[in-house]
Order: sequence, then C-alpha cells, then structure tokens
Amino acid sequence: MPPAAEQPHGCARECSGIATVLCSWINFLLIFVPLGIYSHMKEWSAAARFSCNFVAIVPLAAILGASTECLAAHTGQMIGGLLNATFGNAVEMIVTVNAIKAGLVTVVQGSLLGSILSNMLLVLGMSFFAAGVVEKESRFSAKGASANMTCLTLGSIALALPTIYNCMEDTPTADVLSISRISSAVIAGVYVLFLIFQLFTHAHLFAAEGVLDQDLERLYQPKGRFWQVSTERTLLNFRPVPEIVTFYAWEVLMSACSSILLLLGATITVAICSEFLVDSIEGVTEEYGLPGAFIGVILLPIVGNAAEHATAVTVAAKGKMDLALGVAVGSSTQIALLVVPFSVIVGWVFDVPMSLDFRIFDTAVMILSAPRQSASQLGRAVLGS
Amino acid sequence: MADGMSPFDYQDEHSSIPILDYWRFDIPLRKDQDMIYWPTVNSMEWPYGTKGPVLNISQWSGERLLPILPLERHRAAAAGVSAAAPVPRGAVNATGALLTVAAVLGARRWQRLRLRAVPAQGEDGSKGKVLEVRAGRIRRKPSDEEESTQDWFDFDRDLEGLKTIFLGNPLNVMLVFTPLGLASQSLGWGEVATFGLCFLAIVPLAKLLGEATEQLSCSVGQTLGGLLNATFGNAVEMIISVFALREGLTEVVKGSLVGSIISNLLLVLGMCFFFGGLNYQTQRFNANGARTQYSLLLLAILALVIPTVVLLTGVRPESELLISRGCAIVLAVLYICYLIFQLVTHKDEFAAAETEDDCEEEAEPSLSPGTAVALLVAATLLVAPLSEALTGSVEGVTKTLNISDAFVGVVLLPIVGNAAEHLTAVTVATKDKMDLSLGVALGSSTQIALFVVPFTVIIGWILGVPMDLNFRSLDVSILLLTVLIVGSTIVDGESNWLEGAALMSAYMLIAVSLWYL
Repeated sequence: MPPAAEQPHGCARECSGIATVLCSWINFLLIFVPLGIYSHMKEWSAAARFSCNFVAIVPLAAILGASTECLAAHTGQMIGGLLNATFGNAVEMIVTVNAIKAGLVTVVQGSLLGSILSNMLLVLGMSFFAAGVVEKESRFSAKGASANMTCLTLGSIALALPTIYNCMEDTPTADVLSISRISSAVIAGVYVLFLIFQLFTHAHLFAAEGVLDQDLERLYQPKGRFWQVSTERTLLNFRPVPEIVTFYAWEVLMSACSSILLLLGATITVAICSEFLVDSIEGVTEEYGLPGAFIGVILLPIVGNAAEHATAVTVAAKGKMDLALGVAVGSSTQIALLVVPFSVIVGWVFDVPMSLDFRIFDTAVMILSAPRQSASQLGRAVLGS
Repeated sequence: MADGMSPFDYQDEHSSIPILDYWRFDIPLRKDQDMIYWPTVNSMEWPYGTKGPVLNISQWSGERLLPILPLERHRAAAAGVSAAAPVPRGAVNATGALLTVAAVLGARRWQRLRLRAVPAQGEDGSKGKVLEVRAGRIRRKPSDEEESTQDWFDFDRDLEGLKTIFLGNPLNVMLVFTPLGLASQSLGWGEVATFGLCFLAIVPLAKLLGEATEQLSCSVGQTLGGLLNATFGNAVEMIISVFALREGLTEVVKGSLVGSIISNLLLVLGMCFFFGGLNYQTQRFNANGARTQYSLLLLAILALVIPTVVLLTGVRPESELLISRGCAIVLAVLYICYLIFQLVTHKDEFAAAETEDDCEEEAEPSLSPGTAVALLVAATLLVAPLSEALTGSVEGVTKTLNISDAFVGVVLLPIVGNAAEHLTAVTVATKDKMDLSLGVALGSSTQIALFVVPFTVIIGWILGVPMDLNFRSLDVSILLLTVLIVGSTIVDGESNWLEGAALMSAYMLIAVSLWYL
C-alpha cells in the first residue's frame, strides 16, 4: 500500500483514478462509442453499424469490469462477490435482453452456447499451449473447481434435456417451452445456492492464496504515478479483471461514489450500443447471408468475453495455468447458471418463445467437453497440490 | 524403551502372526540377550476358512526382560467368566517367552479386537506388560463343537429386538396402511385411492425388509449377507416388476428400471450429500472404492445402452427380443463376476475409510437368524399383494390424474421401491459415514443395472411377455447424463452440500421433462 501521505485526496484523486481507468491501451477503442451512436443516427449500412457498435462494446466491458472491482473493494467480500457476479455478466445479459426483445431467438441461443464453448475450448487450447509449464506454486485454489464442474454439468443437462425431448416424435413444441422455463427456474435456484456456497459456507475454497509478503515489496514499485503498480491480484473466481488496469489496492484508486458513477455510465453506454448492435444484426443477416446462429456463436461471445479471454491468455502465458483455468471455468459456470436461465425468463416475460432447445451438435460438443475439462482441472489440482 | 524397529527384521510377512489355538493367543515374544520385544497389535481377526485368528502388528517395541507372572491366573479367570464378558488381561511370561491372553467362549462369530500392551502390576508386586483389549469382544468361530450357541431362535433377545424395530422407527405408523391398501383394492375404492394407499403401505414394509436383511447378514456372515442384501434389497422392485410384466406393462417396467437407477444415483446420493453437507463442511470418502464402483456402474449402463443403440440402427428388427435376451444373459454373468469381485477377491477396495460395519456397533445382532428369516418372509408376503394392487391401479391413475405413463414409471414407482435404502443412506450420511451411503447408492444402482434388468427380461421370457432392452432415446440419454454428473461429484473423494443440491436439481430437471412426456 502506498503510504498515506503520498496519496492525493479528494477530487484530484477521483479524477486521476478515472483517468487511469480510461487511459489504457484498450480504451483507444472508446472512440468507436460516439462513432457507433453516430452511425445509428445517420443510418449507415448494417455492416458498418454492426462493426462500430461491436468494437465499441469491447472497451466498455473492460471499464465495467474495472469499476466493478473498485466498488467491490469498497464494499467488502460478500457484497463485492455479489456485485462481481451480477455486473460481471452485465454485457452478456444486456445484449441478450435486447436480442430477445427483437425476437432473435437463434442468435441468443447461439451466443449463449458460443460463450460457454469458447470458454471451454479456450481452456483446451491454453492447456496445450502451456503443456510444458508446470506451475508448482499456484495462487489459485483448485479446490473450488469440482463444485464448478458439477454445476457446469448440471447446466449441460438442463440444455440437453429439452433438446432431446424435442427430437423425439410427437412431442409438442409448447411443452418444450414449458420444460425450458421450469428448468430455467430450477437452474436459477441452483445459481443462488452456488452463490451461497461460494460466498458464505465454503468461501475459503475459492479465495486465492494471498499475495506473500515479499511479493509486496516487489509489487509496490513506484513508477510514474505512484499508485500504478504491476501485480497479479488475488482473484475471486468470478470475473477476472481485464488487465487494462493492474492494481494492488483497488480501493486506493477511487472512492465508492465515483466507481458507482463510472459503473452506471458504462452500463448505460453498453445498453445503448448493444441496442444498436442488435438492430443491425437483422440487416447483416439479410445483406451478407450470414446465418443468425453464426453471428451468435462466433461474434457475440467476443463482445462479452473478450476482456476475460485476454486476461486468461496473458495469465496463461505467464505460466499461471491454474489461474487461467479457474478464470475460464468460472466464467462458463456463470454463463451456464445465470445468463442462460436469465435469457429464458426474459423471454417468458416478453412472451418470446425462447427455449433451451439447442441443436444436437452443439449440445453434444458441450457435454463432451465437460469431462475433458474436468480431467484437465483435476490433473492440475493433483499435480499442483 | 526402544520403540520402532526391532533388531529382528519383521517385515510384511510377519505383520500378521497366526494363532493356532483359539483358547490362548500365543503372541511370540522375541528375546535378545536381556531385551525382550513384543509387538504392538493393531487388531485381531479370524478370517473364515482359516485355521485360527491372526494378529495384525504395527510395530515391535522392546524393553528389558521382565519378571515372570504366573499363567494359571488366566486359566482360573477364564473358567469363571461369562459369555458376554470382555477378555481378561494377559501377562508377560518370560520363561516360555509367551504372552497369553485367555479367551472366553461367546456366541457366533468373530469380531475385531483392538489390543495394546500396557504396563501393569502383578499380584506379587512384579511389573510387566499386559495385552489389553481396547474394544470389541472375542467370539468363537461358529463351526466349533463345544458350547455351540448357534441357536435359531432366542426368544428374549428376539422380543427385545422386535420391539426396537417396530416401536423404535416412527415410519412404522404407516403399517396401518397395509390393510387399508388391500381393502381398497377388493372394496373398489377407486384406483387413485388404491395407488396412494399401497404406495404408503409399501414404504415401511421396505424398511422392515431392509432391517431384517441386515440382522440376518450379521448372523450369517459377510458373503452370504452380501448376497442376501443384494437379493432382498431390490425385492420390492423385483416383485413390482413381476406383477407389472404379468399385466403386460413392459414400458412401465422399463421406465421403472431406468427410474430406479437414476433415483439411486441422483436423488439418494444427492440427498446424502446435501443433508450430510449441512452437518459437515466436507465429507471424505474412499475415492478409490467409489471410483471402482463407478466404473462398474458405467460398464453396466453401457451394457444397457448397447441393445438400444443396436436396435436404433434398425438392422434386424425381428431379432429384437433375441438380442435383448442375449444381453440379459451377459449382464447376469457380469453380475456374478461383480459379486465375486466385491465379496471375495477385492474386498479391500470396498472397505470403508474407517473399518466399521453395522454389526460391530452392537455386540450381536438383535434378532436371531430364525426370527429375521421369519420377518423377511412375512414382509415379502405382505409386499406381494400390495404391489399387485399398485401395478393394477397404475393405468387408472394415469388416466384419472392425467399424469404421463413415463412419470409414474420413472419417478413414482422407484421411490416406493427405494424407500428403505433411501432412508438408511441419508441417516448414515448425516453420521459422517459417507462410504456406507455411497456403497448403498452406487451399489444399489449397479445391482439394479446388472441384476434386476436381466431378471425382468428372463421373467418376461418365462411369462411369454415381450420384455426387451430397447429403451427410449430419452431414457438412454438420461442415464448417460446421470452417470456423467455423478462422476464429476465423486471423482475427487470429497462431497459438500452444493454437490448434493446439484444432483437433486438434476433429478428435478429430469422429472420435469418426463412430466410433459
């Protein structure tokens, strides 16, 4: 921690804090935000609108993550965890709501599945990549991994059952919808239990083993602005911090008020941009003949998950495979347990036939990748511990 | 005192020393100049079929040679000791270099003893070491001629035992539904009423069956007890399926088989993990044993899935029954191998993390074998007509209440059949004996997949009913998904309440999709 005398106080601190968050390399892309809004107002071609808004959301997601961390650092462990859990997935949830309101069910299904699959396949790729590196000293506790895997398998079951049901003959589609809705309610309940598990009863399984004292010295190196230190943070298994801002002490950065302001600002901007994005999807589908599912599976997950993936890859490149694995697994669990039932319930509210009936191939891939992941996770846990 | 390694190289081959005389346990001491060494005995066992008990020794300790204590003391003590008393203490006898412990004659079987050598003082003031029994009692082996107290009925004890069984369990209040259930069928109170009453009546009967089997296996021994457990544990399910087959309800039977497997794996296991996890943060179990069971289960389920998949390809539809019957025979053979594996060759794989079994807690079973058999037969005789009434009313129920066939078969019927094991497993899990509940849940589902399924096919063969192993694709995928999620929970050897909640939610998801079928 930088000594108190050296910290700027009051307004100056807030402004420099916000400036630090905003001025990092990824935020160059923020210029696309006004560009995206402008493109919608001026009715540019669908592709242009799509790309502008697409690129605009990426840095906004990162800012969202950073400001959530700041707020979480001020509020304490449990509420911080809850905040992380909700706002960490804010981008995906906002995009989903907009897409469902527009009735683009296949796009939403694609984006959900794509997020989960991209997380899992990323994990696979990174395990191959870092295959030679065995990280003995792990900052991330792998004991919570088993609970994650079980919940992920449960999520795949929830997705698989309506799909199989739909494939059988003489099963009415209305029933598939009811099954999906009730299953989502059950999965949402499991998510609440998962949160209780992670935050209350078994919190010690998920807390990373903290930073050691000697690292403290190494970490706190005044370099330019004195509070800018490079470090690996202790991470909760929720949403990783995108490495645009690397801080040791989040609460130094800015006060709770300004982080709330930044959070709200980012959320509103994301909402606007994603609405424009979803608007343009239909146009893109018509003009270029791209199936909605493709956009959903490949493109949309990038929006929500890019920052996370960047973190995971950089962390893996530094050899901290456990952390990377934990990040990716935690992210897919969040999507499977929270965003999926959320989308079905939103569809229920808006009376859109959003069901959990995905295509067989996707579901099969998802189910089959689960044990592979659990094996690698377990392998790490056994090797590392 | 020199602890640890003795100058004598007692390695593995001496870690268990056989004792030839069940009267006196001559534990050889070793003398080396003026030092004497004795073993630290962990436990004493007498495996069936061997000549005598063996001592399991953990280490040898040494001390200077001690004075003699007379041996006659023990003989006198032994003569006057009653059947239920623990073993009196032995003493060091340096001349003969023997340590003797006198045994007492007891009831039927051996139990484990935990012994340790403690310093003691003799009557003449001399000091020595005695072998003290820490826990357990010594019994004679049953095939012995002298004082064979192997009696089939023992009225006093049985009365006590029966009282505990019947009055101790609050579930037995439901026994009142038995006559009601039988009456409702003959008096025609309506199918729904019959179904409900029979359902409620079978639950306590299943529990009684379980208790009687347990008591019988205490008396009769491990192997036979295992076999009994295997048969009568699933008795209710087998009886129900026989009657259902007689009515020709093959789909219901198939559904109830799948339902039994998933209810054991998801509902029972989930409730065990959940309720156990409410009391304990994490519960450990023997991951090796669990994984062995799990791989057997996977094998069994694959054996069920293969006929379905083969028949799905539609290659030779006319040989559908033949394929299923062939698979059933293979499964039956696999089951016998499984029994041999579990009870004979690889017993240790299935040993609990702490080696306790139900019988050790009580000195002896509370029911003599004769009474247990009588109770078993009585319970089975009552279950039979009740299940006949139950299966008879299934069709009426599905029409009246508008529930799907699949739901009744897969969800409701297995709950009835499994009730006893269900309750046992959950109670035992809350007492932190997770190995036992895992054994019950996993073992029960393996037994159903390997034993009850071929049993139903063969019964169908005998009765001339076309019972085959062609399950629906939904059932097959449910089985595979179940196995997947159960695997992820048990592979790490620990359990917590969230895993239990996840398993129970999986069951709810499956029930929901079946409701609409």
